[in-house]
Amino acid sequence: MSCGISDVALDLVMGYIDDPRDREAVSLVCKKWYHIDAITRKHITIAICYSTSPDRLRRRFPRLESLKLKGKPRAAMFNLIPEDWGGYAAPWVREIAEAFNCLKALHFRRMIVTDADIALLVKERGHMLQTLKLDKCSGFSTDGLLLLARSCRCLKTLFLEESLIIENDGAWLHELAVNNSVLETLNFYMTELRISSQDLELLARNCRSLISLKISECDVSDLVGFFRLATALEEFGGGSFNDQAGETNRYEMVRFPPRLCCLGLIYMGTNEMQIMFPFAASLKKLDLQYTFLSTEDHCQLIQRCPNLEILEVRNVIGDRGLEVVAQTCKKLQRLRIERGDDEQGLEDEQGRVSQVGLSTLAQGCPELEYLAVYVSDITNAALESVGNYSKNLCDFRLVLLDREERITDLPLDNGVRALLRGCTKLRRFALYLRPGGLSDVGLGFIGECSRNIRWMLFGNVGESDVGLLRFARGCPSLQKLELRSCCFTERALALAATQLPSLRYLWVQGYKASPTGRDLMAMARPFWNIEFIPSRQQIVYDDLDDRPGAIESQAQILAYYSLAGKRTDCPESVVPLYPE
Amino acid sequence: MERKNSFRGIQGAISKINPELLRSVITSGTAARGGPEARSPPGAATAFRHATTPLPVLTSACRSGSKGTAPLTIFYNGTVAVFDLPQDKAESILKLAEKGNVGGVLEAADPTASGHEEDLLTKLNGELLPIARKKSLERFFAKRKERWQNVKRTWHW
Repeated sequence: MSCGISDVALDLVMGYIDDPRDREAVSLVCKKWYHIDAITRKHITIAICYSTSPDRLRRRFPRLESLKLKGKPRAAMFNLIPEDWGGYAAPWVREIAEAFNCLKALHFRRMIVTDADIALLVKERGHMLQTLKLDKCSGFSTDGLLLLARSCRCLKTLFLEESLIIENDGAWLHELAVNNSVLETLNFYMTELRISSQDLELLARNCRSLISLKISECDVSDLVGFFRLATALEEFGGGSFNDQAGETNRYEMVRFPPRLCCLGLIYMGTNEMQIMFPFAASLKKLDLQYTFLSTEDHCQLIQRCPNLEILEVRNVIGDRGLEVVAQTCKKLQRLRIERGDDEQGLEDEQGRVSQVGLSTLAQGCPELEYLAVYVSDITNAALESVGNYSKNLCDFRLVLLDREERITDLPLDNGVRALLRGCTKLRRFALYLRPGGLSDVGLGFIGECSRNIRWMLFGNVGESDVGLLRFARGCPSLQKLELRSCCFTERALALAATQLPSLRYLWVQGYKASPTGRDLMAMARPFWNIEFIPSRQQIVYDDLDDRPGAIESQAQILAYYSLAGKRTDCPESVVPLYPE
Repeated sequence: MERKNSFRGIQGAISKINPELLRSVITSGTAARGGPEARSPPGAATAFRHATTPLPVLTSACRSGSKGTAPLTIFYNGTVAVFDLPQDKAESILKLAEKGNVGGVLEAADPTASGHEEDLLTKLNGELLPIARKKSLERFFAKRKERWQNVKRTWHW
């Protein structure tokens, strides 16, 4: 008996506790509770795959049903991490194949997964796999997909978004359509896979539960048949528009399925926009990041979407577009405003977002939980507005673009403080500025006012080590810190890393290196892995033209807690550092 | 070490300079070096082009370019870059490499360089990195550009 509660009761009660932090607390009460948590925990997310080992995972959670593993640092999404850095799925797949016989859902993010890994997974767990996500992964080919398609008949979700896949043929989709009848979600968005629209139609016929499809580029006019058949479809992304000269009615026949409420169409232009109008009022999610729409187009479209909950755009939306959002999209929960192209004349002249749009948005959309925005100009008052009105904000990211010479109101110390004080639910926070954007005092404010924030990304903040050390005295919940292009010394970084009480992951690029690199060792301690990626010139081959481009990449520091000991699979570009 | 830091200073500083301004300092002769034109990351000007083919060695044949310029070869961190520069510009660059101060070069090259850029540069010591671009968007912009170029080609007939 434990605390007067029978084991059976405890088992049942624990079944209702899902939040990993609650579970963590529960597991620390006593051995019995630890054990019950261990055998009843359904899902584990391992934020960095080198923080533990497959063996340790198996020993603690043998009955795991769902696993998510992340490999490469987040910076990989910005081409900052060498492709061969690591994050190999192989050891995990081996363990899964051998021991995890309850596993139904697997998610690899930013990892290297080979066809051999997929083959092993399919052989041992294919019969029960319901969800497989190879998310921004690389290392496998369409042959691996073919294996999946043939053997995993329970697969409800296959997610391959933004993975780098070696393409041998399009047979995998055909096999999927033929062998699977329970598929609900298929996503190969942002991949270069070429598929046939007939296979998609076959899929629609056989998988009557298909509710979400996101594909690579395939002309939307070829999807007319698919849309007619996929009557349960709620989400569609991808496709492409290719107006041939002289053709005006190419997309006239396109009718979207009746329940469609999430949409993102690639290369859609002004002339094609109206195909969305008939059902714009039912749209809950809209992705315009990869369209060719102007500021005015955004205004025209968004004013027809009062039920929008998630919106993703580039800054071509402009302050004007944000005004329309504020007036129309009262239910908006998530807004992402990405950066447009830098080259002159390629983006709409009105395509700039500033403090004006930000303030209007905050006032108009009180339900906002996630806001990420690239701004061209900013003021403290705008940040205060966010603090005043966006009470539900959990995730706030602001990047100040570097094109404008003069910014209206810097430093942003007071605005940032007001925002942090006002948005008490904030868990994730990113601020990418320029020298002068945030003073040492401002950094100190962040330390003081960020009680619940777990992840932070900073660019060009602070003036000196003083700021960093002030910051490090606060941030009680900060687990993951990413710093880029700051002026801090190695010594200060090392000191801050040891002071921040919850820090378990640190990534830095751009800092004042010490002459010998020894200052970094001030943060050396047991279970703390430190990796150094020296600066390098990277040759990047453009997919479209074969001309190589050179990208100079400055040195990086990556440090994280690990129970697995030293990494044994570092490539040449990664130097593990250990105190002597 | 000192030298290395100042080179890094140049690199970091130059990557923030308005490309037009930079071109006035380093002539466009650099584009031809090292095989196909190195594509600079959007929004940044890279002073040091990466030589991807066997390095163009200074030969007497290319000794003096037009207008009294001569090749200046810079070896840094395992890469080589060659610039066609007039004497005075070459000397400026060598001087600033010794001093680690980029502001002076800009003044010499363009007296109308904005005060802000100088402030930005003098605050730098090689730490200022261009804002990183997301892979997915980069690909989209490249494809968009290619589509426009295709359209132009079609219409030019």
